[in-house]
Amino acid sequence: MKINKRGMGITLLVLLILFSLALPSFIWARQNVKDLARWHNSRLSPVIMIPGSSATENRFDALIKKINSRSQKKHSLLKVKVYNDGTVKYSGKINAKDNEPFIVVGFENNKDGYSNILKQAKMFDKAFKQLSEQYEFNNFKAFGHSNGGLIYTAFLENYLPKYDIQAKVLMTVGTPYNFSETSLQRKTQMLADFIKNRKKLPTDLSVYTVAGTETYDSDGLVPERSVEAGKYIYQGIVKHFTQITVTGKDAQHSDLPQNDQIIELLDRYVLEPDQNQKTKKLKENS
Amino acid sequence: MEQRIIALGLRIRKWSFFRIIQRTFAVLFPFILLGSFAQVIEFSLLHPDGYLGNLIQISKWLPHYRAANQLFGSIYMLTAGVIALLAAGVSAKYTAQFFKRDEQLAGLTGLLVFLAICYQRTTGNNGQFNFRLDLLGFPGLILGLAVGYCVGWVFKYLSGPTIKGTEHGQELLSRSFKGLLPLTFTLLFAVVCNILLGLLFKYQIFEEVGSWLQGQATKQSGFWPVMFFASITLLLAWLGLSGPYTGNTFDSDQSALKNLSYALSHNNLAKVPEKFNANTLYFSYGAIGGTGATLGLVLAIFLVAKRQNTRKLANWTVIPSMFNTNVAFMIGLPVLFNPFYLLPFLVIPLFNMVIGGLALLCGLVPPAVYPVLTTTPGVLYAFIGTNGSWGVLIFTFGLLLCDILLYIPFVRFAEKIAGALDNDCKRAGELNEDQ
Repeated sequence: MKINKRGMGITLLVLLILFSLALPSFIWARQNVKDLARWHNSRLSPVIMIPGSSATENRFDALIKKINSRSQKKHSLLKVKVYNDGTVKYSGKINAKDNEPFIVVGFENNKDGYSNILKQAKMFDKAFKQLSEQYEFNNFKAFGHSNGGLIYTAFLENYLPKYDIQAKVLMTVGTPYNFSETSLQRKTQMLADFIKNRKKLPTDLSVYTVAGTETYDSDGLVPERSVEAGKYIYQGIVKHFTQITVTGKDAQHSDLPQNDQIIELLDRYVLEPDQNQKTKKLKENS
Repeated sequence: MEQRIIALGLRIRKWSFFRIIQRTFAVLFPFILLGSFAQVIEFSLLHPDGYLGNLIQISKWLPHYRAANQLFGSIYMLTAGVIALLAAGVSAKYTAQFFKRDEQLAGLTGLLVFLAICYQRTTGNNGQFNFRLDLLGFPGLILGLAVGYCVGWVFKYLSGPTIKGTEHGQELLSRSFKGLLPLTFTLLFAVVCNILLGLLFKYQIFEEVGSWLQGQATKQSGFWPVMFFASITLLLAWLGLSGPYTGNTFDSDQSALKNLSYALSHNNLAKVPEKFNANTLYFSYGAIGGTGATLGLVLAIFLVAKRQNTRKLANWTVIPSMFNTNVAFMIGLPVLFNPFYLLPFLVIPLFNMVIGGLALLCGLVPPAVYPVLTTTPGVLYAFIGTNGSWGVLIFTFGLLLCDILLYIPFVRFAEKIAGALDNDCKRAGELNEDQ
C-alpha cells in the first residue's frame, strides 16, 4: 500500500494542531471546573425579600430584628436599592460565616399598578443578576409582602428560568393577586397574564400565600379573595401550594410583616431549621 | 471477493437515483462548504459557548461581537440553511436531464413545488402561513431530493423529449407550452403534499416522535441503551436527519447532571454513579472526529487517495471537520445516502465506543463528566470532560489513529470503483464515437 507523502504531512499537521489545542483546553477546563465547583458547593442560601408598594428597603427592619432576637443564629442583612436609571446601591453587608443572610431589594419606583410591577420585576432581575454573580449562591428563598409577591411572581415566570439557580420557597404575605377585585369572576389583566405564563414557574418550588383578615373578607386593604386568587397561578404547577389565613392582633395589611404568627410561619417554612433544632429532632427520633 | 465488491459498488453507482443524488450534491457542495465555514466561525468563534471563542475570550475584546455572530449566522442561513430547497430544484433538473426532458423548466418547477410544500400554517393561536425554515435546511434534505426526483419523473411522463439545438425564441416558447401540463400536475401534487404534511404538523407527529426519542435518550443510560441511541443517531445522520444525540444532550441528560453533581462534591471521577451514558461513551469516543468519526476518513483520504477531486475535497473540508462540522465533507464525497459508506460510518463509531467502554470498565480512563464547549474537537472532548486527564488524551488520539487505519481500506475500494466507472465511461464513449 502506497502512502502519499504530502498527505502524511497534512495528517501529521492536523494531528499536531489538535494536540496543541490540548494545552489551552486544559487551562480552560481547569478554570471552568473550579468555578463550577465553587458555585456547586456554595452553602449560601439567602432569603431575598421584596417589600410592597410605597415601601422602601427598610420595610423589613422590624421583622428581621424580631427574628434575630428569637434565635441564637444571627442573620446578617444586606439592603439593595435599584434606581430608575439602573444603578444598584448596597448598604449593610453579608457576614462571612452567615449562610442564610437576608437581602431586601427596594426600588426607587415603588408605585402601584401592573405596568409598575412589570418594571419592578425587570429592575429586580437586574439586582438579582448582580447578587448571583457577586455571592454565587445556587439557591435562595423568596419572601414578598403585598405587591412584592406580585413582583416575585412576574420574576419567577419571566426571568428566573434563565438562571441556574433554584428558588426553594416563596412566601407571599397579603399579596393581591387580583388587585382589589373582590370576585374571582373578574380577572385583572395581571392575573390573566400570570395564569397564561404559569407553566414557566419552577416545579420544585414550595409556595405559601398568607392572607391577613381583620374582617371576614379583608385585611383592611386587600380582599381575601384577591389573595386566594394566587391558587389559579401556583396550584398544580409548583411542588407544594399552601394557603394560610392569619387573624387577630396585627392582622391589618401594613402590620402583617410584624405579625408574630407570620414570623413564626417564616421561621418554620422559609428559614432552614437551626442546627441545634436539627440535632434535637434527631435525638427525639432516636 | 474484492472484484465482487467492486462490481456491486459499480452497480450502485449506476442507479439513476444515486447518479442524480451525486450530481445534485456536487452542485450543492460549494454552498454547503461556505455554510460550514460560516457555521464554524459562528458557533466556535463567536458563540458564547463556542470552543475557540472561549479559549481566546473573544467576547471580551472583539468589538461588535454580536453583530459579527449574526452576520455569520445569516450567511449560514442563506447557504446551508436553504439546502433542501436547492436540492429540490437541482435534483429535478438532473432527473429531467437524465430522461432527456426540459431540464430548466423542471428545475424551476422543483423549486416551486418544494416551496409550495413548505408553506405551512405556523403552530400557535394566530395561525399565519409561513415557510417552514426547518424544512428548508438539513432536516428537509431527504424531502427535497424526493420532491425533485418526483418532479423529474412527472416531466418524463407528461412532456416530450427536448431536441438539443439552438435556443430560438419560437422554439423556447413551444418548449414552454410542452411544460404546461407537467407544471400544472406537479403543482396540484404539491397542494396535496402540502395538506398531508400540514396534517402531520397539525397533530405534531414529527415533534411527538422526535421529543419521545429525545426524552428516552436523555432518560436512559447504561452501555446498551447508549449503543442503541448512537446507532439510531448515526443511521439518521447518514440520511441527513438529526437523531437523539445530534445535539449535545448534557443539559437535559439526568445521568450527566448526576455525574457532574457527584464529581463536583467529591472531586473524584472514578466512582461517579453513571459510568456509561451518552456523554462518557458517545460524545467522548463515538463522535471522536464528528458524527461517524469522519475526521478519520478525511485523514485516510489524505494518506491513500489518488484521485485529484477527492484529495481537493479533503483539503477544503478538513478545517470544518476538525470542529465536528462535517456536512460539507459528507455531501462532497458523498457519504450521505451512499450505501458504500454506510458500513464504516455506522461501525467505526460503535467500535470506538466499545473500546472506550472497555477502557472505562477497566478503569484505564476516567469518565468524562464535566461540561464541554460546543464545537470542541471530538478528540479533545473526553480530555476536557475529565478536567484534563493526559492519559485520556493519549487514548483518544490512539483511537483516532485506529479510525484512520479502519477507513483506509474503504477509501481504496472507493477509488477502485471510481476507476472502474471511468473505464466504463471511456468504453461507452468509444462506442459512441464508433457509431
